[in-house]
Amino acid sequence: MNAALVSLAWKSLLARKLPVLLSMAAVALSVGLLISTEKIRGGVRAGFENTISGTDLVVGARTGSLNLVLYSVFRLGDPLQSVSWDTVELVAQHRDVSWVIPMSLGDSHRGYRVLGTDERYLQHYRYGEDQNLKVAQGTWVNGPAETVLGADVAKSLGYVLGDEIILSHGIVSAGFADHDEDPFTVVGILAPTGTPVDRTVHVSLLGIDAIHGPVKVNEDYRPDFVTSFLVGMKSRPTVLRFQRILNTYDKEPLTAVIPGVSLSRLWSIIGPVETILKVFTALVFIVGMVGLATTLLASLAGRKRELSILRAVGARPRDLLTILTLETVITTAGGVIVGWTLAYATLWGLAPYLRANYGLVLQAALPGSFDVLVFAAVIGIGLIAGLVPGISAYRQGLNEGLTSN
Amino acid sequence: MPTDDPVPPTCQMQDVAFRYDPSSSDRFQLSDLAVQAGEAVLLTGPSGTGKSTLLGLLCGVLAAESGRIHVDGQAMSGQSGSQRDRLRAEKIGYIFQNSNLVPYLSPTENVLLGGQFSKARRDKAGANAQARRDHATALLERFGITDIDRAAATLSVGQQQRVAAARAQFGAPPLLVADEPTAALDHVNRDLFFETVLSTVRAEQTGLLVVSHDLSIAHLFDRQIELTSIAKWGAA
Repeated sequence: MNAALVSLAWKSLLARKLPVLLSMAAVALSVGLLISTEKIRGGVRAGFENTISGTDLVVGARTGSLNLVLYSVFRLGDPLQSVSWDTVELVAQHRDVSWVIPMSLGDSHRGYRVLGTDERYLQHYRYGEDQNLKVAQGTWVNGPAETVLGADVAKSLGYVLGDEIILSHGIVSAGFADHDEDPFTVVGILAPTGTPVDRTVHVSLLGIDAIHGPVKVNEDYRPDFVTSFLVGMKSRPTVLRFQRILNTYDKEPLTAVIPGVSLSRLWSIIGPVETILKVFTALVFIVGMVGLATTLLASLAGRKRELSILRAVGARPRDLLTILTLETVITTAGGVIVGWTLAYATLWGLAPYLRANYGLVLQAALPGSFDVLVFAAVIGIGLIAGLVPGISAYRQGLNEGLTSN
Repeated sequence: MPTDDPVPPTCQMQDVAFRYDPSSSDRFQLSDLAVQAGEAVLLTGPSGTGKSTLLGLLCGVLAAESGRIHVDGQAMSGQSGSQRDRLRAEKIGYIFQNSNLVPYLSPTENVLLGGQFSKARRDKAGANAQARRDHATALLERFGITDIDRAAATLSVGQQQRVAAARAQFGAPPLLVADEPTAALDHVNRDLFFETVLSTVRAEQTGLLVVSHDLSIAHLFDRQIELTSIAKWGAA
């Protein structure tokens, strides 16, 4: 390829700035969409899989395993039946069990779920890659009228340490069921995790009972029931056996699920949506590239004369092919770079917003092999799109000779 | 044809046959055409007699079925497409009837295009980029174009034809071919065009073949050939 052809292609592009910029915009939008949807999809998936870690079993009263995980881990879905405290203690004392975290759900504060638990939650709960919860400000819950807020709760409701808040029974945030007489004091705020923990209001188990009525504060308080509990085993191989023991426990009907298995099953429900998203993104991309080829072919009609002149000064048909293909490749490459930059600028710009509002952490928002693949694919397709008018020019060069008009 | 000529003709076509459609029996046949160095030849004839076909064959854009086509001593006939393209780039300066300029290039760049596809012509035009640019500027000046960096599209038709002539002469190719080069020009511009082209033809000993149906320019040429006297269309 010679420099003169590159220079001709470049000057020709500069002379047709508007159509070239429009084609570039079409490519940029396709590429931007492709990259940002892929990154967000990856972020959603990673965030989903990292919601909980280190927990071997989620245990609740007999119910569907998906509902149990949805309710206990994501604070979504239908409320659960209760599990007796005796069972929780019995499990905690089992020789294969390392720890349990009791969880009492069912109340809310202005749309955020209230979780009654104890200090074992802070000690043993893990998310992401084995990260534990950290109290960013203040302390963990000590008394029945104290609360520790997830990062999003504190941020979006504007609460600071020392604020007094009212917790209501049930999950509706309407005022009817509010128990005005029992304010809780914010004593701590957790560091952000990007998981449902950020959207949770934490109180003690005694605090949960306090929402529902006056309680006597004494040292040997024990609740009657909890909603569910998380179990950590001393060693992995015992998980399946212990799950079977719990599922066949005859004193109380229980459901014990391995969270990882349920999460995968949940994700497989979302799978088709993911596929549809991919298909649509690909279609937008293809439409963009077809548009590019169309623009090029349309502009070719107006350039017949120019190609004849190049033929007359000695250009070979393959030189015409080279010039037209180069033009497409330059246009496409420009579009890819613009689209890529836009996608990442948008993702980086939106990251704090997505993080705050959807708990979506775009950890995967760094360029990777996917980007290289997109680059190669777009330039490749651009090359093919450029070959269409290029070959047409080539044939014109071969067949039409030095036509005068 | 002159057999005792000491210098071979700048271009020569002999017993050439050509068909656009190989399955058709409609064949273009040309008996003999030669242009000597320093000679200006006018080829006339009504439309449809094969002027474009003759030019396509001479310039190597069309491939002859049989016969001999030589330009500056080199065979155009019997060569591959890209060899013919290279020969055209090197040996022939071509001028269209109109719209001769690449619209996004300046007059200077349009003239430089004359050497774009031939190293020989570039080398003849100048040893380096600056020398070639000077050569282009000098050619444009000779044709009265001094406004050398404005967009080609803003030039008048007369100016455009003269830029095209300057391009055809860039790097001094041995043969100039023009297809109705002054059909779109008024008398003043037409005379200006031929005056300059012919003076170069004489000075550089270039062969000039002009196709036109404008008989009022015939007196400017050394020879006038009626196309129908040397070529015809028909079944073989």
